[in-house]
Amino acid sequence: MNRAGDPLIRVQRVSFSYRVREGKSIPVLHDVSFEVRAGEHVAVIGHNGSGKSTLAKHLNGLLVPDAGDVLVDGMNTRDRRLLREIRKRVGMVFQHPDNQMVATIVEDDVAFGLENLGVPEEEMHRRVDEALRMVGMEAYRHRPPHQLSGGQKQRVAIAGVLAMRPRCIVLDEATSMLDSYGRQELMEVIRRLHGEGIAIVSITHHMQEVALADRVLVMEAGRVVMEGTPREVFRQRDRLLELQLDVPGAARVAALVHAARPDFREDRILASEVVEEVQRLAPRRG
Amino acid sequence: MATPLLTVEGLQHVYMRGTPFEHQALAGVDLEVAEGECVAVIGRTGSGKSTLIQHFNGLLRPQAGRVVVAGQDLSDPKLDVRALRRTVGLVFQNPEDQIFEKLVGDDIAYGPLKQGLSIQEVRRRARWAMEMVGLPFAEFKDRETFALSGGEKRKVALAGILVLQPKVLVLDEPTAGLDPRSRHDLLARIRHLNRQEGLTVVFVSHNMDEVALLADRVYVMAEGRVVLSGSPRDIFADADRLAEHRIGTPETVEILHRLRALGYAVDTRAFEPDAAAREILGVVGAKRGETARGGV
Repeated sequence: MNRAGDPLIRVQRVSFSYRVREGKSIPVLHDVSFEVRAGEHVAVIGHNGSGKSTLAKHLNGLLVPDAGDVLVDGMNTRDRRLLREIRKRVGMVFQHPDNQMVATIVEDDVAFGLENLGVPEEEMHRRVDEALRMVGMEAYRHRPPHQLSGGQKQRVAIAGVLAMRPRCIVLDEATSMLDSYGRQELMEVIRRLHGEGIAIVSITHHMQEVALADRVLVMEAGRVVMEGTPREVFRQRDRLLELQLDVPGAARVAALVHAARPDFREDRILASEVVEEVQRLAPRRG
Repeated sequence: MATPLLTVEGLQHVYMRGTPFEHQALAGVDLEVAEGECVAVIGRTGSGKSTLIQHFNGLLRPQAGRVVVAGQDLSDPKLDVRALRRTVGLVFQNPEDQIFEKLVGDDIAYGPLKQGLSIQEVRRRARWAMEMVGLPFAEFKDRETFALSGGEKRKVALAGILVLQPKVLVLDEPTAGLDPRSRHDLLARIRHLNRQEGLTVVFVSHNMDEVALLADRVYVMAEGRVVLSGSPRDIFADADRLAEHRIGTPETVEILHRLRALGYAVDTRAFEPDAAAREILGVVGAKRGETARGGV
């Protein structure tokens, strides 16, 4: 269905309002357009209420636009008959891990979606094994989910999505309730999936995560107001502060050092890049 | 330290005792909080942080050990729990999930009205609580709660505790899930309550930037015990212990630790961005061509 080079998800001039009661609605998205290419890692940032999560829910047809279209692998999310195929291709992981566990044992939870699709048992086992391996949770397959940490639960939730063999995973603030180690574990998994050619759309408040994406979309009042590589976007700190956002700590430090020492590159956005810049300017002898 | 307002000694707690799911959440915790202090409790998921703070307002009672808050001993079978809860205000994780009134003002006024305070007193307190969290009374009291942003809802929930005028404010992950601006704003409000209004604050956090900004002292928990305590500066300087207990550091501190491991002379306690930048400038020199001192 998908010709090579075509975008995997195409969001075309999408507008959306929540209807709260008769005659009253809250507009959330205004004429939003962008694409997610196969295998791409896109981060979406914006303050609370800017429309990020609403946008995410459009990517696999949980919400359908009032105006405009969302095409997944060429399939329009308006066509309810295609929803099953669309959701096989685009899986979602949400903020609260506890709300996403449905079974009493990890492997049953991962298999849940496959059972609904009526996948044969042997194939199901193979896919559950593969999914648990990809998120590093094989050792926990017989555990009850409530004994897992937040980060482990999120990895199980991702495995449940992976078992469907999606081409894209949408993470809607999936790391925001995790401690810093849980977040690092999850970032490691995301990096691995991206390496396997799965597209990632991550909605996040953590600028360190954004620094790892190929491309960033910045949302404000339901519109995409900035777009570019993380390096390009983080160069505009003043604009981000206006939008109630910020840059990662590493970018902040690089800019401050650059102000006093102009040949220290200010466009460094990762801790490792700042360390390398110090090594470049002040090599350790011996 | 002045006489502590909150004392925890040898506190233990076992969940589901005598079942196959028995789990020791607290294995002898000692901790003190002085009046007016701001204390952070950190530690990875499952280290016992939330279990610990649920003792502070009597949601849990000590199974072994002691908890005393402003002279009220939680082991006392005749403890006046309602009085204790007027002393200690506990703000849960995602407290906005517990907003149930349609209008902001009604939600905040619910607690004090239940206590039987006069309408005028409730109104006076609600006005104060709302100003404290940055929700102007006139503008927000008649707003519908469902239409608020996530950050605003969190503030409504906090105001609903402040309106009870506790001496100790206990917060479980106060900024989890908020965007950077709402987070900064809320942290500034909490800091004001602590520094200007003299409220004693104890908070649980996994955000080390937040700990760096707010806390006078930090307790690090692991496996139901306190394994480390001190100022944020001292705690962040101890890279090995932090790694051992799987505690992250602010990204600034991570950079300094990496540089130090490479042999550069930097002070790893400098967690604010400008302080970290000064440390780096100390290594690379302030201007091009200036002799860099790279060695320790």
